[in-house]
Amino acid sequence: MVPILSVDSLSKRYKNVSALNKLSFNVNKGEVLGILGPNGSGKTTLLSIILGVRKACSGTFNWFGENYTHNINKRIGALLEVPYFYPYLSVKRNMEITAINRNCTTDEIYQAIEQVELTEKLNHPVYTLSLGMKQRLAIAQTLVGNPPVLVFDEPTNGLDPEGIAFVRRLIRQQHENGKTIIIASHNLDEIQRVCTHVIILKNGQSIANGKVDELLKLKQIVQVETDKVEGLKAIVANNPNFKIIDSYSEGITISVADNEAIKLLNEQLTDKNIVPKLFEIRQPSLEEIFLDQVAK
Amino acid sequence: MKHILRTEWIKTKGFSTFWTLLGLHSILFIVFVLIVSQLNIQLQGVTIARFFAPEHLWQTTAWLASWFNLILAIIIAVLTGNELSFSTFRKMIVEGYSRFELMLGKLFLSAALSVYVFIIVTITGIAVGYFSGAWTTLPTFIHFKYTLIIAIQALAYMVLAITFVMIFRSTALSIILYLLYFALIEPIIRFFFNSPWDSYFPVKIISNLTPMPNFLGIIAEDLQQLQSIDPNTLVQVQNAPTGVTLLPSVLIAIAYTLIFIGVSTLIFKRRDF
Repeated sequence: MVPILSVDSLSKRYKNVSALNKLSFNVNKGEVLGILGPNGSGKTTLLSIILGVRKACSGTFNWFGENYTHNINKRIGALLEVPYFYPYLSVKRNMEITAINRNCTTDEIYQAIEQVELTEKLNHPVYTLSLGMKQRLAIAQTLVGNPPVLVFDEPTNGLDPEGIAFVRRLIRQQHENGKTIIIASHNLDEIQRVCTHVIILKNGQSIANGKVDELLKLKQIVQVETDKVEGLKAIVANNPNFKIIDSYSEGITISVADNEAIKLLNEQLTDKNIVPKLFEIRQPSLEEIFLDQVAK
Repeated sequence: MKHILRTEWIKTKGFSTFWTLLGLHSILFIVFVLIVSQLNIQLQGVTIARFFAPEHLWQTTAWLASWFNLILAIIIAVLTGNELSFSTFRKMIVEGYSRFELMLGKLFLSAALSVYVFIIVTITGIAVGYFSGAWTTLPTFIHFKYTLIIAIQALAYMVLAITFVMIFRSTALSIILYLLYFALIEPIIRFFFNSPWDSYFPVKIISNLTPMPNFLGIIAEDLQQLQSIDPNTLVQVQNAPTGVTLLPSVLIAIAYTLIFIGVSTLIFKRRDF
């Protein structure tokens, strides 16, 4: 099966800073890929390049098995960074500019506006809308023409909890309709809830890539609380098998690779006469996997 | 192409600053020309109205219109600068417009404004012709070519404005540097070049497309009728060289316009948005 998006050794430099470094990955039809990474990890640069806004220094990418041309973007609904509009134009006129290039009818504009519940604001100038409404309008523009691929860069930015839940519903709905979706976000909880696959970027390189379920099985999380926290920290710091994910006054949260490492930790605690008040083993959240990978 | 025209029309028609500046251009130009043509000032027995006589009308009107072409360049600079400050060029690329189409949109707009200049100069010229009593029956079109040439001049000014905005990316900075280039930078550069090379600089060539009417020649012509002047002297005055002649000027101005388009297209193509 031809991947929807294939990225091969993509690199981008801004003067002396490497934003992307030989990044390669594929996105297959029907996947919801979450792109994670700390600030400056290259998420927006990556999306800008695959959408033709910026030029890569080296490497290639193709959509739908075809070399990239501007016409490919007509098959992709994309929201890049903050929403951009002609603020003096109405919601309808802004939608028309998107629709004209995609040969869409006025009815399709109304449908998209209805999906994001902005029908009442159709004739209002965009500068009168709140940030959340603008974000919803930007999402409506991505839906015009019913493109098979959606790309969102921080889609929940500026949204209140109700708005965030709305976007989550919409993404799930679009996924159920068979669309391939790529989302870059800081909101790890959001990514875990809606994504099937994830790629974690650090310094422009992929440090983890795969199905969300499989990534969550790669590590185990141990939460330990004790009166001798400093002694506990010393044990963990001296062993490369343990990595501190979180630290607080009563204890620490660490990631471990396997049951052997947990056994080792238990033995070392006993040797040092450290009695845990809490010793909890659980599956990690995506946030913990992220912190584990990024802290490497 | 049709979708670019439609898109540009939607963007422009809803932008009130555009209509304000365009209205300002129309009103200032029409009122200015009508007032000047009605002034009853005499210079050694020759009235201002003489410059609006049928044989000088179109050149004088085009020359006066050329003073207002900078307003059109500012309009285009604002419209292009808006796209960069609103990041809407970036958005349009994301939506599937090619970079060349973005450039083409602004060129179409510039071409439309050039047509507008041609129409407004023609209408104003006809109005002045009738109001000043130059025409008693049908209008005459001696030297009407200057009305077409001013449209070329307007286009060249506007395309240069697009180039400035694409280079400097800021509307305000581009407009300031554009005006400085016209008024100061190029004249200073020209100062270091000997004749005839100083005549071939872009602003010099483009502004010379609508040369100032040969006032000395017109006055001398009239004085000849009042006094007895040697006809050979008159011929010398009327044909006094003013740099590059019209046809080469038009061709060079068109070449410069194409170069500005080329430079802007290159920037559109290579720049990260």
